[in-house]
Amino acid sequence: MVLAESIQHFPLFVGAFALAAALAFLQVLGGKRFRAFSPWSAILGMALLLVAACFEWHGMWVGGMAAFVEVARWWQSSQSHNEVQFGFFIDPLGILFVTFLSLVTFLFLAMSEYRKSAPVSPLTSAATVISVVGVLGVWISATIWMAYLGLGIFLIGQVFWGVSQSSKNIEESHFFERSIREIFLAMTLMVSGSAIAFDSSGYQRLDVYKVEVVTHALVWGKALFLAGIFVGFRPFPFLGWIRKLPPGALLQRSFIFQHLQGALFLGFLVRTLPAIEAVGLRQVGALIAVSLSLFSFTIGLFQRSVVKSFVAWISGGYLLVLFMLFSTGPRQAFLYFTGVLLASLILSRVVSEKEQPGETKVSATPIRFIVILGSILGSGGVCFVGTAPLMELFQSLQAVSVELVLLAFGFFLSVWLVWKVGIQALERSALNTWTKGAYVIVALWFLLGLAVLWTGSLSGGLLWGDFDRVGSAWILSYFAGATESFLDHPRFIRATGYYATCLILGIGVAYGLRHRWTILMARFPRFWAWGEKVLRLDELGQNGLRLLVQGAYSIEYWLAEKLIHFAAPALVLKAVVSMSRGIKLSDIGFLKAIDASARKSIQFGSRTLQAVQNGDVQWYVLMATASILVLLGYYCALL
Amino acid sequence: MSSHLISLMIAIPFLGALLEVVTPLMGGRSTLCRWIAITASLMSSLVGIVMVSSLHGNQPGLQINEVFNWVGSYAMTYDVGLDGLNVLFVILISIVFPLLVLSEWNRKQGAPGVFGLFLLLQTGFLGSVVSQDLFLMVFFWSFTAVPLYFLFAVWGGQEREASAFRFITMSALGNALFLMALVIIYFSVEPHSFSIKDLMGDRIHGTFDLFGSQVPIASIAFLLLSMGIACRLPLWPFHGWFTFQATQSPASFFVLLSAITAPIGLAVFARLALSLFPAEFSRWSHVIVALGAINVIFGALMAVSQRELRLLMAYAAMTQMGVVLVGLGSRDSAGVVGAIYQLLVQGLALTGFGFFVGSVRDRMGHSAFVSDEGKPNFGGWVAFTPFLALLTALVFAGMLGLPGLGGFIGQSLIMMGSYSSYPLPMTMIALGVFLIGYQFFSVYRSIFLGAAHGSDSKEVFDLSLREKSLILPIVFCLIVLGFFPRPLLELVRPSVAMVLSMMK
Repeated sequence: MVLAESIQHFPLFVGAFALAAALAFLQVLGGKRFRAFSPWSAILGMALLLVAACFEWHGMWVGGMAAFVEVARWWQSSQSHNEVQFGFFIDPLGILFVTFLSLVTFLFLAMSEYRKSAPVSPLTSAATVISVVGVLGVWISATIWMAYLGLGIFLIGQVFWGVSQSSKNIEESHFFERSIREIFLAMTLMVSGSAIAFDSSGYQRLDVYKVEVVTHALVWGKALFLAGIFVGFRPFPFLGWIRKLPPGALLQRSFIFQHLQGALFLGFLVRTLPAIEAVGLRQVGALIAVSLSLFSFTIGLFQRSVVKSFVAWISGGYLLVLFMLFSTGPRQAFLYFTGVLLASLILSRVVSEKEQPGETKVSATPIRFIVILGSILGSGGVCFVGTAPLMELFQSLQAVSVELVLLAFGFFLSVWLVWKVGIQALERSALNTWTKGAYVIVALWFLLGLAVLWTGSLSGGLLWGDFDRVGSAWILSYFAGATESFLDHPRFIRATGYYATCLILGIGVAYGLRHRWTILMARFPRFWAWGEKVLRLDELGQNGLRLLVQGAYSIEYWLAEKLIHFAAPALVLKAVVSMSRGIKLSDIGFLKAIDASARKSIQFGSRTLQAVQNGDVQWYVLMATASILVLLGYYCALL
Repeated sequence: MSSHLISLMIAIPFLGALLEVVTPLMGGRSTLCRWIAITASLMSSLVGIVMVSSLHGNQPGLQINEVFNWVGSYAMTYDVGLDGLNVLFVILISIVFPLLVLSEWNRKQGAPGVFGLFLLLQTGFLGSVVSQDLFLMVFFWSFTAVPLYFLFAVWGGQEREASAFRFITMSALGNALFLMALVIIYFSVEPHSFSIKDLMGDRIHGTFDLFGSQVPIASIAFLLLSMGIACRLPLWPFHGWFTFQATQSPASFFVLLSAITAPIGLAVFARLALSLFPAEFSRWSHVIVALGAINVIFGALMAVSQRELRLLMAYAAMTQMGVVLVGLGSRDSAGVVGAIYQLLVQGLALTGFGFFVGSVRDRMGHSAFVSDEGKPNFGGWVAFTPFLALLTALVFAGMLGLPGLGGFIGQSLIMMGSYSSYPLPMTMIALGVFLIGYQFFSVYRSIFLGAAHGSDSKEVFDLSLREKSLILPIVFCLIVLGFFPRPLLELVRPSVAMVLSMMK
């Protein structure tokens, strides 16, 4: 495979992303003049993305819906066997997602502007735009390493949000810290997995993923990668943040930390699904996703606060999206994701804790209408976008299978929970007030959530024979290999039965128990407390870490401080000092001995000579005569 | 490209240091000393950057080389050169030292001394990395201990004498072991030589009779070399002097240890071990990797419990040294290239961290972010110091290896290269990085976020122009290294491939 050294043609999206991000940064760093335009500059950024999407869409349509792919070397050259590539992969699905998310964010920011009593700070709107740019970057990346850049940009957005909110109180700062920590854990797992599974054969492109040999490293790498993605969705047991959820800013908070984050990790998973399937992790992933969704929904049901129940429902909803992705494919997952996203945006306005002063008060009837419709949308009810994927999912699963049972139970809990939230929100004394602009935007969201817009079917595929089809299922052309066809009649009837039963039962239980929660809580206080305490599983991890740290500290203290820096030097120094003293003593003694010997030998000689030199003449004559005789004898010998 | 530029690069800071000595004697004030220091440092850095930019990728071996006979009868040559194994460290020194001079710009007392010692250190470290003669390398490497000792002993904290003594003891021991290795290498090769080019490959032969068993001389030399360099690095369990120094020295001086000495030390080790002892390196790679993994986990666990920023920096440096050791020990092209790249990135990131710590200390007088009772000492700084908050976030991100910054490239390459041979240490790297991240986020939250307390806007002010000029270049480099790693990686990779081919 011949790779370019650099990217030759940058898609229009890149320019739009850069401009949008630049506008966002200017809001924050550009001084008061730019801040005054917030969040309109952010809205302009989203508009630029939409325009770019339209151009790309047109270009793709002219080209027969063929994907645009351009990949080049990034980290090293072709002579290296471990080159890492980057590039852009823009297919119909990518354009669709970019368009959809840009539109939703555009409306979200516009809606925020209508909340005059609680204006969005420049940092928050900048955070939203930068996070969206990061998410969309993942969806148009050709390789996983490029997608990580999108993750990095998303994290910068989260930091901006954290900074904007966290200065208010300590709860916000703790929430931010926890969120960023969990996404960092997800990222660490994913990058580690990618490094382990790194394929040096050059097949890094996500659009043509090919596995020739399934190796041990590939399986472990993809498993770690998948674990990271799950952590990114923050399912149980990472739901502990719900307990300490700060009040306020629910719409912004859930948008950035749940919806955008979910979209980000969904992008990773959609693009790497062939790889996950190749190593046999698809079914495992499906089971894990649906099981975790059950936990999330159940925990939501135990929560006393409607806001906490709501965010738990969002978490569970995205796990059902994952299940759908693993079981049926990206199209169904995308449709269900759309339903959860739009429903939660609509319901957030109602679920927010405090009444917003200063806004025009309106009658409660429109609000009730919106809540009911929003709950239907969120529960995948008839005529909305979630119906079709649920029906297809129920049809695709085997009649007697664990997945079907789990799905049915999960769907039932989802419906129960979202209706519980809706009913609780409506029955609170503080009603949220709405401006006319907010109504328009909510109406647009409802419009986006209609099944007929996406599938061409009014009911969303609930009628056998497709009698309610009014348009073509244009969405099919945006998903490679997608077909929409009803399976055999018995399967369809079975699916309809499951769907209707779970839906009606969920709504019925939510409505029937609406006044009985407090009674149940009072009757089963320990059980209820246990349900809430389930969230404290994360504290086990923190206590474990604390114990580990204390252990490391004590080892460090005894080993490095006591042993190495006190005991070891003490022993070594003592030995050295003792040796030094010994040498010093022996050295002194030796020198004294030499000194004494030299003195004695010299003294002996001098005494001897002194004895000779005693004043008697005969000794002098004798010495002289002996000396002469010695000399004469020497010279005779010489001769 | 003239090969004399290397000598010019080394000599300019030395000449600057001499001027620093002379200037006070001639009645010069500290202002003049500052300008001499920054001029000399910048000129040397400029020469270094010019040389680096003239190098071509995909070329192994020395691309710029200057040789002349020094002490010919003992085969000592003045041999300096630039290749893929040392180019990144020339960049590191060229970037960091002018910033260090700038960080001490407002020093009034002892300015000539501090700046003179900085310039001597720049000379010493540059000489260490570019030397292609063993004797010259040992000379420069050992030389760097002396200015550091004076910096710590004169301008350190309350226990500066003790900390400086510990430092110089460990350094002297390390330098002595290094010198012993040098002598053994010299005499075990015929003809005797100190030239790294002549000694490359398994040229060190012979055995040594040690209590009846024949121990290869190469093993002894490798062991002495490793321990000699390890004595000057923050490696567990001999890191106590390092962490003690962290609490005693000013932030900019500690940057010299953590962000310069440690990476340069590992760079010297990498060059010598891979070039001169390929067989021994292969044989001991599992020990190196094990030591690296232990450092990663231990450093990370210790970092999690810290309440003082300087100690956090020390343990973070220890963790990163461990990551690099795992990369080096993997003996894989990706791992070794990643390790060398990571040394540059971590040197820059730790410099940024050090400047952040210095900023906190300048404002609060201390850098303990949590009190002994476990309560945050200050918080909510983002309202007063938004620029500092933003740049600190980017420095932290660089240290943690977030995508888009240089650490991501280095860590990913290390993990790619080390998994196949050492899966468990690779997993420990991921765990260690997560633990460090855990603490970094906690530190960031406790200092910058939440409601303001423990300080007011008069004490806590945003970065001045001088402080911005310290941290901005670091952040800029980290971003460039994260987005455009290829030019530098292409300089490193061929040299790494060449030394690894000797191993195989």
